[in-house]
Amino acid sequence: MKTYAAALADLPESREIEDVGEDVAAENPPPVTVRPDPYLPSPDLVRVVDLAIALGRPLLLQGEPGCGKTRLAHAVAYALEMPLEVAYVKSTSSAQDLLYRYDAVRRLYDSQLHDPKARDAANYLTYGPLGRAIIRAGHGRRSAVLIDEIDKADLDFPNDLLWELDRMEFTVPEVPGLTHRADTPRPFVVITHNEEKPLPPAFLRRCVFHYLEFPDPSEAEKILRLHGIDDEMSAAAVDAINELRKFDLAKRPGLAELIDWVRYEESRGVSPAELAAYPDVEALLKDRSDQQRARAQP
Amino acid sequence: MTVFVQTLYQQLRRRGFAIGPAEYEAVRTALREGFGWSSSEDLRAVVVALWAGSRDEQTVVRTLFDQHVDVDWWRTDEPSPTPAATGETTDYPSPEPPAIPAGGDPAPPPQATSVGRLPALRSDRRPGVGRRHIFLSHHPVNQRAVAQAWRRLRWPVREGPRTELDVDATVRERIRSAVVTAPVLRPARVNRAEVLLLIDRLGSMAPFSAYVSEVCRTIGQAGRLGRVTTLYFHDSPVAGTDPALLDPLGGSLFPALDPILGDIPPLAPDAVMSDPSLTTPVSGQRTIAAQGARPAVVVISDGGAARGRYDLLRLLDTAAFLKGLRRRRARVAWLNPMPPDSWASTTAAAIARHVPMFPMTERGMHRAVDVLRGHPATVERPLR
Repeated sequence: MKTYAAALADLPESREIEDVGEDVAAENPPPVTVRPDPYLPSPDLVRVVDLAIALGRPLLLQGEPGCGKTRLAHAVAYALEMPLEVAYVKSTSSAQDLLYRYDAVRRLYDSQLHDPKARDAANYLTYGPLGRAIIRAGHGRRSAVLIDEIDKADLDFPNDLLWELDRMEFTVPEVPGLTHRADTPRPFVVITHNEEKPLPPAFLRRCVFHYLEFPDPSEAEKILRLHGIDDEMSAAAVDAINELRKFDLAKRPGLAELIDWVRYEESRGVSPAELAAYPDVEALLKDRSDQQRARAQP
Repeated sequence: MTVFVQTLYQQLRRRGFAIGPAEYEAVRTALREGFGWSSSEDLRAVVVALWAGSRDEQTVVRTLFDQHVDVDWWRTDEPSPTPAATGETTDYPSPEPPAIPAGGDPAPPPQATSVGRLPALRSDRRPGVGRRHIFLSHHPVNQRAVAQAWRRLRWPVREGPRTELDVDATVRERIRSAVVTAPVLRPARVNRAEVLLLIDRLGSMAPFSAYVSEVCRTIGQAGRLGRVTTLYFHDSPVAGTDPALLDPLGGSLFPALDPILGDIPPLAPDAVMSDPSLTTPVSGQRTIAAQGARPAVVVISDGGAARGRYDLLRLLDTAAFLKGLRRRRARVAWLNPMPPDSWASTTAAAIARHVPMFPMTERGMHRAVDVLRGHPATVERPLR
């Protein structure tokens, strides 16, 4: 198994990666062509990714919104040729949704209609992202799992996942004797966390933790250039945003906002010098008092 | 290497980090896999990634790491899989004064010209501050324990959008109608328990302000209650109870309120503020009324125990306030940041005769939550 650091050294233009929409239990699932997003991880981030993979622990990413927590999962999955299973956590999500869902009502109706399908409960199972990753690992293929914004869900959510994330196995009680287990190619799990609610310590201690800082100016410039912004414009934009981030803002602009803003200004033909006056600051600042403060700058 | 990791592990355990043997083993596994050997920063990153779970913890781990790493440790290391970096230098200034450079023209020897004042300390002679300090709060009860205590305050109610499948109801409906019907959904269960925090501020409570606000923040954030309302006051939430009520007590030094308890009027908290700096008054009556039928109220105050005073007027105001809560059938618990042995012969001890008062420790908080959950608490002289 290649490390992420090694994989970053030669990234191809596109890759054939297993289609996550297909049946995981199939022998040779059809691939789909994936193109990479521009993503520039810091050396620290590359190291923790490799650490998490080596130890087989989930990687918990924290950081300001829009600093590339979610994109990392896509970038690692691409670099290491893994299909990416994504679970966007909602306030109503339960841990079981990540593993499987069992449609009891449909089975009840089918049995009333004497449908032979209803004899086997396994016909009414739909696997969730983590469940699919574990099954895929059971077939010897590796996957990446992104559990996005875990703090949006109920507190029980991370607690209910402890066992599954630790052991990478789950049992379906509705189908007696059905257990899925992942042994050697453990799925690589990335969990993002927006600090809305603190996570339980029992969960935290099973993870590898990394806090994504806003990149320093030279790194931010590199990231902008990677997104196709020319050198002069990148430098001016990074200067402008660093000035802006020095204020005591209610919500500091993140990288995602910066990229959107510079792209728009570039397509509009704004010169790099004009960026210091923060044209279209609405794309960067999402708080009224912050905007007023930025506009008042000379 | 192992010794160092072990020291750090024990230091963190002592600070209440939720790390166990498995986490210790994880660092060792990471080292065996070849992580963390290239430099001390590299090793620090490994330890931080595995043992820290938040930004604050990250700072603690980093600082403790830096405290324990010195040049000796790094050089006398056991043979490592990859050669260790040798560029590690110590931050401490060397204890000896710098040697006089050989050769060149030596500077003229210093001459003492005046003894009128003390000579200025030469900066290279000043002892170096070798240890970095951790400027992070370290409270008597950690966040986790506070959250665990307050999570026990639950009033689960099904409400909100119908999102959960009610299998029993669906089967019942199907049997009843004998035709295919839509599945029955029900709302998810949420915690509707509400709590009103009344917090004493400034004066003798000033030393506890960081701890109290940390506890309140944790209750609000991690207690997962339906609603937490926080109001602030100074000394007593009620002010200006008629001092003439005290006349029958005579001139004794530490009189108990017992003879006049019946005459004290129940009062709504009228001296409460919505901000910790005590500048924005709010109607305490309306806030309590908004709390529902049997409000849960927690008062956090030293009750005069910090200064060790017996203040009869404060006691009177507090009794009037507690009677006002009693009228609303509130469940009240009092948390006192001072330890119980300091309550004796102060206003706090007198207040504790009328309301369940607990120290602001982990056990105290659990018992306060018990009271709010409706467990009977025995007090010497309950108010009616």
